[in-house]
Amino acid sequence: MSKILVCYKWVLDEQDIRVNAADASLDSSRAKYKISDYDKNAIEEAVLLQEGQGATVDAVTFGGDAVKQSLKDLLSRGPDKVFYIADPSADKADGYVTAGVIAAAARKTGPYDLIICGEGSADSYNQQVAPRLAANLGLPSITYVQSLKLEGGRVVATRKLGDCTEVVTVEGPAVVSVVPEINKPRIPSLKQVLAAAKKPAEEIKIADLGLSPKQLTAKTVSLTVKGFVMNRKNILFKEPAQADNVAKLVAALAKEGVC
Amino acid sequence: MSYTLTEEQQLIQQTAREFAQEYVVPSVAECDKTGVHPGEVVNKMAEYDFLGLYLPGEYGGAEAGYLSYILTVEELAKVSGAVAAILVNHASAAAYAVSRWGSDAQKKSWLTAMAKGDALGGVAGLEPGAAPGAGADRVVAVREGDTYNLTGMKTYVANGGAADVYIVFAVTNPEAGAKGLSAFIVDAKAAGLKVNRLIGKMGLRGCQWAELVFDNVKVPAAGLLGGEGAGAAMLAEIQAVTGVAEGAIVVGIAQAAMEDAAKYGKQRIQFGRPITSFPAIQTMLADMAANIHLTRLAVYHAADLVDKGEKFAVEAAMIRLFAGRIGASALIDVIQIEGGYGYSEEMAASRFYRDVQGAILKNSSADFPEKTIVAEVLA
Amino acid sequence: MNMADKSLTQEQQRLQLLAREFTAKHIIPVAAEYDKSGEFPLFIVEEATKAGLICNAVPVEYGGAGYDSVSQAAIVEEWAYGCAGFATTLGGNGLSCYPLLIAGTDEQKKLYFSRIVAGGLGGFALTEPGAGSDAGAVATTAKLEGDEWVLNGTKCFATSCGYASIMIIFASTNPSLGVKGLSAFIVEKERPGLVVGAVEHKLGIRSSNTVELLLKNVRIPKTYLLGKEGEGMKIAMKTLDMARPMVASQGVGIARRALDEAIKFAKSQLDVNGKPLAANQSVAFKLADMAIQTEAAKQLVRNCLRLKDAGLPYTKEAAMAKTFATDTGMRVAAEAMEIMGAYGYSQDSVVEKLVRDAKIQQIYEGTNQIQRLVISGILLKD
Repeated sequence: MSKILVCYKWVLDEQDIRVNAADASLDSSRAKYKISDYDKNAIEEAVLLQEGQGATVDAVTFGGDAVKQSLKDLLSRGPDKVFYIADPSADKADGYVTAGVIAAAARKTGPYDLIICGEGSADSYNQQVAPRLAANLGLPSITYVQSLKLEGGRVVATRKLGDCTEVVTVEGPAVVSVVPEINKPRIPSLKQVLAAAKKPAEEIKIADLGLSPKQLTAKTVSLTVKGFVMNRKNILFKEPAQADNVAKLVAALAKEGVC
Repeated sequence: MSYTLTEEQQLIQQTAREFAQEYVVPSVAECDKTGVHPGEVVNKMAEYDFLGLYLPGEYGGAEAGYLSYILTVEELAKVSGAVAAILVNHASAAAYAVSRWGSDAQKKSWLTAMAKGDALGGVAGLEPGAAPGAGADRVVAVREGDTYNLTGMKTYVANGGAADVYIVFAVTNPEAGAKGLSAFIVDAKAAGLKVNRLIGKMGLRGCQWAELVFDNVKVPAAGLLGGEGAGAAMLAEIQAVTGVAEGAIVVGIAQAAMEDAAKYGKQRIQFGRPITSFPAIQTMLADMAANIHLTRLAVYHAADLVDKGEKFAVEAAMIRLFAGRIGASALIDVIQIEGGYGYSEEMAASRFYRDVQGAILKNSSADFPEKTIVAEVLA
Repeated sequence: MNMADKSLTQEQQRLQLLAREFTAKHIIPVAAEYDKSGEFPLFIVEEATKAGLICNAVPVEYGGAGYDSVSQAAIVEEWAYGCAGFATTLGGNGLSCYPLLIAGTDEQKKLYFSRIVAGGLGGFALTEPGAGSDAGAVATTAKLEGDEWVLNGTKCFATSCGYASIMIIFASTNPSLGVKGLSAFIVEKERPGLVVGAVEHKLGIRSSNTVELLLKNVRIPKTYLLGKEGEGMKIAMKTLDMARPMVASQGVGIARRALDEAIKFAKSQLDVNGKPLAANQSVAFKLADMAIQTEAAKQLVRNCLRLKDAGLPYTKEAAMAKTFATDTGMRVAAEAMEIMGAYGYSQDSVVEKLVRDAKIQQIYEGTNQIQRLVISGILLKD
């Protein structure tokens, strides 16, 4: 039976983040956490494989202390076991650090036949972790996956590219990152929610992963985070003839370089 | 009780919220328009274990506790009071009765079916023109050997015409007054049991109300629930435990309506500023937020008492006494804030207004809630 | 039921009974049906015309009934006892006549009232999507071109305007002046460019016709301006002063009906011990409270109208009557439903309709928040 690892991030719900009008700074004081959206697709895909052909599914997450709140939510969605690395250093981690931490954890808890990630996280959407994780573990990486099959030891994936799709076959193990088109994550039933309490959750200490300080130091540094503010042009076309309005609109768009 | 929800309860709440958005929202408009029982939504609720949410695991329930169930009811009510009411009439009324007073055999057959969602339940307590057991159209049960013959009429039976099984309160001893009332588990398919008509109502459309006619319906003696003459006390307890859940429906509807009103008010510009900047509007919102919060606490507290197996009749009566008024007054203010738009059917407020008025009916119960409360005060 | 109100004059009592009979015969039997379908009861306008109850506000010299205000209010109260939707339709005629009484020239009155006397409906269009409580935000414009005004804009929540023969429409003749640029115009329904838009489906008063009015280059003679340019707000405010006691009367009518229904129920329904509900003091006292409020509301209305008919200031009293009586209609209807439980909530009873209908009077003709603004403004003026 194959063994699958699914990675997820516990992020602040962007819907609850407010932008302060004065300085465009972000106010997340009312925001709750959630499992990052594309990671829900990754979890669902792992569970579909588990149901379809039999597999054990482990999940792993790296985050601040808050990740402990994610465990039951995660387990209610189907995985058999969850490993978590809860460390304050996660707040400053970038894709380089996160991929290093998860790779080290996967070496401890694996080996795996397949590792599934979401294409990018709901907060930063850097799309770094999956390919870096593959590189760290010396495995093939397949990104933008919109459908996925395990055929014996081989991973067959369809990638969603700009205007076409590409079918890729690699010898497993491999790391794939999935796009939302791959499936529709289920809402867990209440019995699954309740059963989550009985499934194992195991903490891995970051100190036990054997990573050097350099490996735990982010290569990208976030200077400031500001909200995106859309400025309206407030141009009204009020010609009596509609055709003149259309002509003016087209001219205005052209001036802005839109068309 | 603990005044914060456990992680598990929060997760159940979140699940119910997602469920409501995914599976209930699409049915709401149609359901309100036609008043027809939304069978598909109920089947989905069964699939997600809502119908047996707090019922014992031994009989196929999820055994998540009454408070978790209440949280689910509240989340459903935010989207559809009707769907929440269907669940409550099944779970808090009918299934509660079997779970509380059923014999092992009754539980094995009916409770299991109800917990798994194979059978939807309803309670037939009221009669046309009368409080239970007191009117000319009362349902009378006459024992003949191993069967009871039920004859008469019941009205305002929630889930009527949609339920697979009814808990029917019938008079077994006409001379004994309230002590002559008994409860029976009656298969909706039983010969002689007819849905006379569905009753139109202001809101909660989709949670059907029906008039049921019993024309010599034969119920095996094994269908007697509790004992002969225990009916009145059972009915009172069912109404108490149901009232707690109905309070949650009020809280859910009022909360959703308040959030809508706040959203509308922030965007509605009059006299050059959002109307929410006027103290007159702010006062209304503050009042309703406080009232909703207090009602919610009372509901959670009563649910916690149910979970702990403690007495909850007085707390439930208090909810029945004031929750309806709080819901109605919140919605009166919500429409006031939304003005002509709120009064139009385009906005959800007009449906919330109609739904909330029926979410918890004060005097449809066997007795006045004041009586239960004052008995405790004077004890 | 057939006892007239002895505190009224003989003539007022006669009209009260006439309206009561009219309501019993033509409104009560069909109110539920029209509530359900939302259809406009055009027939009731015909019946009211036959019964001499249609142009109550139109002066005798223009062929109207010219009833005093107390009588007009008593009639509206009876209509609302039967159905607030019907009362809105029939009463809307009165509302639309008030601007003429306030500012109309003889020619304008002749033009307008002749249509009403002939059985046509009048309309009153002030509210706009962006101008509700804030009437000064009206965006509809009127421009003088030669001998004609040209009107452009969109009105909403316009009562009866889908069926009105003639109407008063408010538009700005000088948008830069805000409230002071508002003016009132007479517009006949057949004017090209006047289009009835979407029909609102409502929580209550469902048979009354509430529509959007679209004005696209609607041309009317220069002489159709009511009063002077810029007097629109003044005319609108005076109109609403006159209309408020009528809306208040709807609240009284609803409250009276709810009380009657609750009494009927409490006397016939048995409690768990087989006694009528009314035998329970908590129910009986609740009925008494409902009656106290209903009576108080009615007298507030009558008081302000007696001031008005005596030519005394009554703005504050009208706002008080409107607020109290419509809040009373809402409260008494809700209390009737509480007493009546499942029956009251079902469509077997009229009470659920009363609870839906009673909400609108708190909103239209100036929300009760605006009334409090008017009242407190007068209180704090000195």
